[in-house]
Amino acid sequence: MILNIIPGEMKTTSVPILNFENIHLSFGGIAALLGVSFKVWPKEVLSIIGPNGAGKTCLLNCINGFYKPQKGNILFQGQDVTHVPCHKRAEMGIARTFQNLAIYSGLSTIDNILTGRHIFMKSNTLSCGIWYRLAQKEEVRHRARVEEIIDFLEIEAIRNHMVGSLPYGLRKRVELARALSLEPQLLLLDEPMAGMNLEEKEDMARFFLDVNERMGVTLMLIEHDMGVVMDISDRIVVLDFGKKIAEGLPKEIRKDPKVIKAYLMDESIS
Amino acid sequence: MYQNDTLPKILRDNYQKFGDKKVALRKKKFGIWQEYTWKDYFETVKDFSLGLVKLGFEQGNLAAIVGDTDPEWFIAELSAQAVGGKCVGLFTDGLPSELEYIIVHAGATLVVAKDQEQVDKIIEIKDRILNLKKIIYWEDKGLWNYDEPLLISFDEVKRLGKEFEKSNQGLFEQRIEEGKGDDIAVLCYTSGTTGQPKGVSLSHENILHYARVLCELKEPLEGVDYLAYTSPAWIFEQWVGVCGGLFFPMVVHFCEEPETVIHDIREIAPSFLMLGPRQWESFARTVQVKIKDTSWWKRIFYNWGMGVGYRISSLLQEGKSPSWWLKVYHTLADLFVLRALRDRLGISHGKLLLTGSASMSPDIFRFFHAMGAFIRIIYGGTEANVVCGTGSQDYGFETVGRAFPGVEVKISKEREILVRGKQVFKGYHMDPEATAKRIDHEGWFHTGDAGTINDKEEIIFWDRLEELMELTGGERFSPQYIETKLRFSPYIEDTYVIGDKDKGYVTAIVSIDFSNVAKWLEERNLTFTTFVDLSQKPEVRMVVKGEIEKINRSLPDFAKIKKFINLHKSFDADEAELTRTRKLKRATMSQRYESIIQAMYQGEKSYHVDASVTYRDGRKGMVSAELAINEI
Repeated sequence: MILNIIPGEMKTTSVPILNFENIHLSFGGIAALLGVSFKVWPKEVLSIIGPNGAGKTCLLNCINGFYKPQKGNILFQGQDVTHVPCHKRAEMGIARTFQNLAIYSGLSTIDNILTGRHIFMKSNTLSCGIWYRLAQKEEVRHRARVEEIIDFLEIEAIRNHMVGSLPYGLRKRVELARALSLEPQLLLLDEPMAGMNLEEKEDMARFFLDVNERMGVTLMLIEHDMGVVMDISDRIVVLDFGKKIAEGLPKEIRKDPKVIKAYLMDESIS
Repeated sequence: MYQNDTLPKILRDNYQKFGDKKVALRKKKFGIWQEYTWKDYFETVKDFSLGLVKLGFEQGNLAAIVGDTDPEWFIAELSAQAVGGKCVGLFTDGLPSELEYIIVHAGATLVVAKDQEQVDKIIEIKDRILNLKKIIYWEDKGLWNYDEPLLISFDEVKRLGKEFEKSNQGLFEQRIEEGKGDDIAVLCYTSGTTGQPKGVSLSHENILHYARVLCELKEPLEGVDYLAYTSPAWIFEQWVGVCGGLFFPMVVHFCEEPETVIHDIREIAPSFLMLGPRQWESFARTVQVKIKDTSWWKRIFYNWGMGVGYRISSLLQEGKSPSWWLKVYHTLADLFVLRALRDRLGISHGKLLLTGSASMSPDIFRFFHAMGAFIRIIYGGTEANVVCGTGSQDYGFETVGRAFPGVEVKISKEREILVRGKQVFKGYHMDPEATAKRIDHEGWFHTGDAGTINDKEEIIFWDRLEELMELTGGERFSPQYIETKLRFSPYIEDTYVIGDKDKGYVTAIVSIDFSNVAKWLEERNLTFTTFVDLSQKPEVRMVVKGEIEKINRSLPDFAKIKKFINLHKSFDADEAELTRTRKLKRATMSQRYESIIQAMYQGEKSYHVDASVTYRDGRKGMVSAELAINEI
């Protein structure tokens, strides 16, 4: 079974896992984010919604350190990470999946997931190459963890398959597995269900809830499928043209006139 | 007489004999085969069993089990039986209403379910199950936050059992000793094609029958690897996986997930494997498709190797022994081609490869036989138990073998296969009327299957009785059985076999396989113009006659085809002669070819046909031809 599990813990505590404070991001004259602020509480599922070009992916890129905001602060577990590089943030516990798949299609599922474990590996290239003592023990330990994730996400049947030959829905699952292998505190999911059929979406939503409930991982989700967003989110943040126009519970967002006007156009939210 | 007449007693003895020196079960988990020794197996059953007692499960109570084929299923079943209970298996794809019918009808007071999917179904119907004490689950994924008071985990039941044992030393062993071979061990529900499913009550002696038969036949099965893949809700897995695993004993392997079975079979290379006909066919298709996609030189090797294999297979079927040079060829083919094929499919160690439950094409038998893997057939059913099976030297592929020791078989006047013996079930659960209908006053069980017994005392299964037709003399025969056999000829694409109460004998309308027959004719430097011309060539009629004569030899006299006619065209789905899945539409055929059929039964030599034909582009035309009526 999955290790380090804290099931059923209260989602809201006094210290936010992420504090996004007055973030401004622009590319030349184009403003992508204009003073966006919100907090993410430990073990909650927070969805970011908004029309295309609202700045949702820019926001995720700021959180994982790919973009550097010109103004504002990002606090992760109370620590200012605004100027911390991506790989350091990954080590601190921020993992993500990508809108367009970013996996190694020429590697097997196991190897793809193992790449997520590299931040925990201590052996050097030489000892890994000759696979001696510490390197051997280390790989066995990491492989065991990878197997737990494979079991958790039910991808045993594709364990040894080349990822490039897998259907899209399964590749998305492999990417999620790799992100989980980083043992994150905060998992950023950028349109994880785009291009999936209904059955695949249902499976994926189930896995997100399991990850959240069983592994205690906080989820931040960008998704266009309003059905999924309303069903699985604890809270929702709405962006429009780089500004936060609403934040609240799904039932509040559903009725918010600004949201309806800016993005949801009545029928899609109802 | 066997010393141990119940499954828990055999488990206990295996534990005493092997302890933790031998492996009993293997299940792949986290990518590694996890092993349970006989000690682990016995102690887990003991803990779980006493846990059930602690939860109020008493002697004579019934536990329902639903889930994939996992060690937990076997443990739950043996635990219920060990304390004097019985169990009923449910298929995982059953709807809640179907599960409810069986659970309520069987009177289960406990449900052991694998996972969230099954638990959700049981929670949905729990209010309609009287006296439901607990729902036990063995995979907790997704169930972490359920607050259903009836739910309890498998491990928790084991823990309760361990505690219960402290104040009840010796209870488990005493309950095992009290068990008798005649006690009901399992209820198996039949598929219920006619009305609601019926619960077949089976005693320990009943389900141990097949294992004992194999033991008497001296099949070398001790310690072999067996893959438990089918659901134990199906009687076969009870006969082999649960009972055989204990009796021989074998090492029973469980797949990691149902989707990984192909991979797991290859890893295990089981010596004993039972698959349904569709699964063997799927294996054969996989090979054929992959060979088509491979490089040309591999294809050449494959065709050569399988060619040699087919020649050996044909000789063995005819009872001849291959020449020395063919043996040398075969050794080389086996070394370079056949062994690799068997290895790829995971049947390289296969000592006992079985099929059953439905008829399988002889082509598939020949395919695997050519590859060096001999698939044997068993015939039986939930009520009749295992009746017969082919032996290790029966290469005929036509029969389902001779009756097993202790099993009596006879054919009734209505051509029904009747079975008698200790192995026959104890009766339908709470349905004495249905039991009386199937078991007559002499103790013969009426299988509902039609068949015959040949002069070698081998049983030939035809069809379900209701599918049979009756001739004037009252004899019943299966047209579908004859048609299926004829279709195996490379020269016959389809046939329509005729014969009913108004007719004294059997006839057939044959549609030739155009491309194969044309090729055959061309090889003999003979020419033809159209399909009509080809079908009526004397040489072609002789070839078809030869094929029918071959099939006639395996049929009883009254079912032998006496006359046939080669049709001037193929049977066509566009003309509503076949369904889109190429099944014969008998009503349409009898109407459409009424005059041809009459001509055959009126003793005419030929029949002039002016038939309308629909061409593939939708145009309609007329064909005029003289069709010869051939006598055999």
